[in-house]
Amino acid sequence: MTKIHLVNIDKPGQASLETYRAGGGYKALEKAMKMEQSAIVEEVKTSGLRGRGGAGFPTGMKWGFVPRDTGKPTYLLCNADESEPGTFKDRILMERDPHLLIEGMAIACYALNCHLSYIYIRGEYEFVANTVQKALDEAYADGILGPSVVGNDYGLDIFVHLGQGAYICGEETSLIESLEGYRGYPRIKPPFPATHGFLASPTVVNNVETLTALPWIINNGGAAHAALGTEKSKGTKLFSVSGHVNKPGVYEIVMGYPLLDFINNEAGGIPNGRKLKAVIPGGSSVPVLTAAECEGVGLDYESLLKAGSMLGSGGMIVLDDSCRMPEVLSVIADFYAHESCGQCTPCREGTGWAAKILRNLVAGKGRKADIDLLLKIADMMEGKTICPLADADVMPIRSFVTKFRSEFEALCEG
Amino acid sequence: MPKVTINGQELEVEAGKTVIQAALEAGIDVPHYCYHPDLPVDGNCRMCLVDVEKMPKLTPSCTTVVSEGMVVRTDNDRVKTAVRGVLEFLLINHPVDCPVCDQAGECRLQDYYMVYGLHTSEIPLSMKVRKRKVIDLGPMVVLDQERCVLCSRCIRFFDHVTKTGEMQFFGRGDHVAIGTFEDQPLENPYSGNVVDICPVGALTSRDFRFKCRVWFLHSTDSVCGGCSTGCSMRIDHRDGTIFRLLPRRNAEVNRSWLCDEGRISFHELMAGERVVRPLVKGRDGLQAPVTWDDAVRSINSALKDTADKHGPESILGFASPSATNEALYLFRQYLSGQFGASRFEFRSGSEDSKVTAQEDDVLRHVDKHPNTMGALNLGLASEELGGIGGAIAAARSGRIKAGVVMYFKPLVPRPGDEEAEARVAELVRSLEYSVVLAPHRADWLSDASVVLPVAAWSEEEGTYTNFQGRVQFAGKAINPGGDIQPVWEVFANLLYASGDNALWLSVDDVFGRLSETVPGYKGVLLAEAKTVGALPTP
Amino acid sequence: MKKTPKVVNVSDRAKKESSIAKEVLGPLVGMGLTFSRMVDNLTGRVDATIRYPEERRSYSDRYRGTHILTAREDGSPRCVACYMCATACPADCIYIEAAEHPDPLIEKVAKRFEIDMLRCVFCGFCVDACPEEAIIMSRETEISAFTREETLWDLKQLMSRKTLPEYGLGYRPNENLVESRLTFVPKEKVRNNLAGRVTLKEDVEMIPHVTYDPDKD
Repeated sequence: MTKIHLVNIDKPGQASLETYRAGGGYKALEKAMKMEQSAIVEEVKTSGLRGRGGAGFPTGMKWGFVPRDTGKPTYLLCNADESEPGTFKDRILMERDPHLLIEGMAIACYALNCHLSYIYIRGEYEFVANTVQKALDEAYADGILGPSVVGNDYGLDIFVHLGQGAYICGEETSLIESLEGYRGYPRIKPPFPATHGFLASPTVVNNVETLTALPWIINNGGAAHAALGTEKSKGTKLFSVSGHVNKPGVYEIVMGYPLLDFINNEAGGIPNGRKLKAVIPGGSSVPVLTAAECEGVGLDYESLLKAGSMLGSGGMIVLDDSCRMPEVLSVIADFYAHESCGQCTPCREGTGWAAKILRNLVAGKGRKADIDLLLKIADMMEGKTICPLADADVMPIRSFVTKFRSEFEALCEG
Repeated sequence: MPKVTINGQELEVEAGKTVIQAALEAGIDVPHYCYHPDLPVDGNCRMCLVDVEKMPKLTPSCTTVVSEGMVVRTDNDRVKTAVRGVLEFLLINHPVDCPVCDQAGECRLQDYYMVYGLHTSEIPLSMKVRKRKVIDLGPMVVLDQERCVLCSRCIRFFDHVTKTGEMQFFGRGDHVAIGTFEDQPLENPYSGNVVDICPVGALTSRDFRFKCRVWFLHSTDSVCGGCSTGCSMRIDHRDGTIFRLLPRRNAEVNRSWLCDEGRISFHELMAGERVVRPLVKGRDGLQAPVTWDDAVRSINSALKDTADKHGPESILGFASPSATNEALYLFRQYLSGQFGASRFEFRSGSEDSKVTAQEDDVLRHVDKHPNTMGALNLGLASEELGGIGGAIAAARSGRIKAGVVMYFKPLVPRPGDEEAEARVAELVRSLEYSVVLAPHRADWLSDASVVLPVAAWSEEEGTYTNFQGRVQFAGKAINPGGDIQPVWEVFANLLYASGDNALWLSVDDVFGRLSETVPGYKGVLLAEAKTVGALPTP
Repeated sequence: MKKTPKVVNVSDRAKKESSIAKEVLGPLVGMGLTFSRMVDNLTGRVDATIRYPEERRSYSDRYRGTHILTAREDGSPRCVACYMCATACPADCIYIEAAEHPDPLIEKVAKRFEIDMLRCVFCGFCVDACPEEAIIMSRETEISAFTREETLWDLKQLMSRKTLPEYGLGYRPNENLVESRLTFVPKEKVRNNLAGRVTLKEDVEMIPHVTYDPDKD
């Protein structure tokens, strides 16, 4: 299977510049620096690359929104605030192959005519940040970054910024607020970051996985990328598999690969001969799929959407038949209650309320009416907030409660 | 200008305005907590959600700018369900302790709770998030974190209006609470404003705390008497006692704000003993209470004697920049019209030079008198005397024999007030015959030939001219009782008794003449002065 | 959860429950009672006239007599000075001054609480308005005094009611919340004095207080 991100991930010493160069590293950057800036944007548009952070917005189109004539600098921010429960792909990329990210960022910066860029890494990834910082130091020493990028008349600085441990800062506008030194609150859109982002200047926020795809696209051409995958989902996708599988870990597969095959082959199947009960395919915020719903589903944007879920960030959580779904949902709801930034009313109060009801239910103190109350709270929260965190809580609540209602009711009878 | 349809009502709205502004201006109620006309938009409360045609989701009306042909509904079931939901969210962790909350009666949460009828709580008391109560935040503010709806108005006030940033959110999720760092007291001179803008009872006034339930209060529109800014305000009073002063929105002067000194200035007024009856000095050199009629008669005859004996230049009119325009006009009219007096002065300090000087860049001005500009407009500053010093010198040298003097205690005390008062006392002492109009008692009043009890600020209606030259009307909130008379009425009576033909029956009469004859008031309508004030036509 | 009250249509019920037996027997039962009272009076078993004030009639439990301010467990007033009673009062006879309570969860307490008993019309609106069961009524009616000042009852007087046991508690809509702190059992002598038709319906204590479990919905 074609690999874009994880080609050299297992090579010993890949994090060092020497090994990275030996494997053909920074060739793409050198090539890109000789291209027209607009040609790179076009190449990315052709490649059909979509944002890998969760929303799946076409990267080329996002770049295309950036105005070039504002007189203000353009900023590229790398979103490495990977906090979605069940997702750990960016960590592997940064930890094992940081130069791939730096190369991708340099290409993106050049394409966007950006001279200053930040990597926003979540606070809990301090050790990852150290690795990335070491790689940046090497790149500066080697002249890859700094006043003349790989010997060209183009200056570029990249800095690492550590977050302070807030899930919400993975949302692009609150990431920008946090980077500016404010409380990590999502901003109201419009205006969008493409025009009024970091320091009120045009800003592009891209996920680590999106950026690490760029060197391959430059080396092999956008068309080669577009040839991979399905009609609307191009290229490959990293999946972080956890839960009840024999081989949890990060896997790269070409888009469209069947979900059940992925669980049974790549992830090594379900341990102890148990049966599959449900799959959360894209991180805790997407609707859960029952085992029956997983039949015939491919791992790509449109197929998962059709099945009633989403690809999200690719944080797949596999649940076998020993799982008690109300408990799983209670844990998820607790997470969102804890991570709600508290800015908008529905999310601030709704996530906490839902979490409390679920905790009560799990403790056997629930009433039948609480189940409908949960659905009512979900309705009250959905689509009424500035950022999608409330929706991220609504989707699991609604899918768990409707798909596994009997389990919730069973808890109330006691 | 874009045409917008809100609830089927077609409106023409200024471009750049938001839907909530358009709706509120058209008298359509849109529930809201975080939106405030004088603060930057935040969009966090989600109460103002409206249904805009062609938009898939409900959108907050405070962040949505109007565009041509926009069709908005604020009253359909979709909106109502959403608002009801948001309100329910706000209430689940709210203590609903309205009986002990000072905000009750003017609380937006309480109002909408009644409108939407969410009387039954879905959440048991034990599940509510408890936060801290009764936190002392300095001289003006008490904080209750449980009642807070986290609209961030107070935070935005300190961030954007005073630019001092004392308050911030702490915590996350449903444990978010507002506060100051380590509960440091708010020592900002504008901290009282956060109490007004707080839509619920989270921030309550230390000064007004537990004094009175708001529904017992009566309101009178007025203008602050604390300095030359002339902030529009509202006097809340009951049974002749002022309980609090609140800002009245005036985009041209004070927006929605009031400084703390102005806010508590009524205490200065309420403190101190009042002069309650006219006092006239007898042959024995002691003052004795007399009726108004006797006082008026004795003043008229004494001043007439002086004018006959020593000429009209021997009469001084010493006004106060705290008196209303109407009072000052009739004062001048009386002395110059009846006795030909031409020497007028009002400066006991250097009010004229300070009148436009700012004390800070929010509201306050250095000159602590509400009507210095009016006194200047009425020509009460004499070039010849050049202030009270010149007047005292003229009195001592015998060039001035008699004087009518007004003295009002400043509502906002400043160092130097005592010296100013001492100079007025000195002037009274230096005059052979003096009539003093004063609301409050003072030792030096015993030197005056006649003392007249007059109404203080809030007890008399009339107009004040602020530092911009804006003429604003202040209503009468309190009935001072006793024999106390408004200053304009005192001079109207003196004029009438001395044979003046004009009949001054009300402040409106005086103001009508003022706007016809004096340039500083030209073209100003009293109706305008009663709302946000008006500038004279040049 | 709020219980939906059962709605009864009185005319429907009357139709449903009416029967010939009832129509005939009803008046007979009533006449029987009248007849028995006549016999009682004629035979002198019961005095038609009582010797007031040595004897008193017992009033209904919902009688609106003088007010009582109830106490907390520790004896401090329950009143939180919310002014609801003063707001509801049609006679404008309640004067309250509030102060800060040391416990931030209670927050507010009445520093002064005065009722002008001569202005009061004993309508009981204050009791209805009170959110705290802090004001209830007694069955006491005798409030004669020698001076005007004595008719202005202050906080202390409204709370400590020495004569209360003689009369008992009056109007208090949430009866089950109001409990007695001390049990007052009328002495034998008192009982004898009140013999005849005048009876004390209950044993009453000096200062009633309110028990309220906030977690109980």
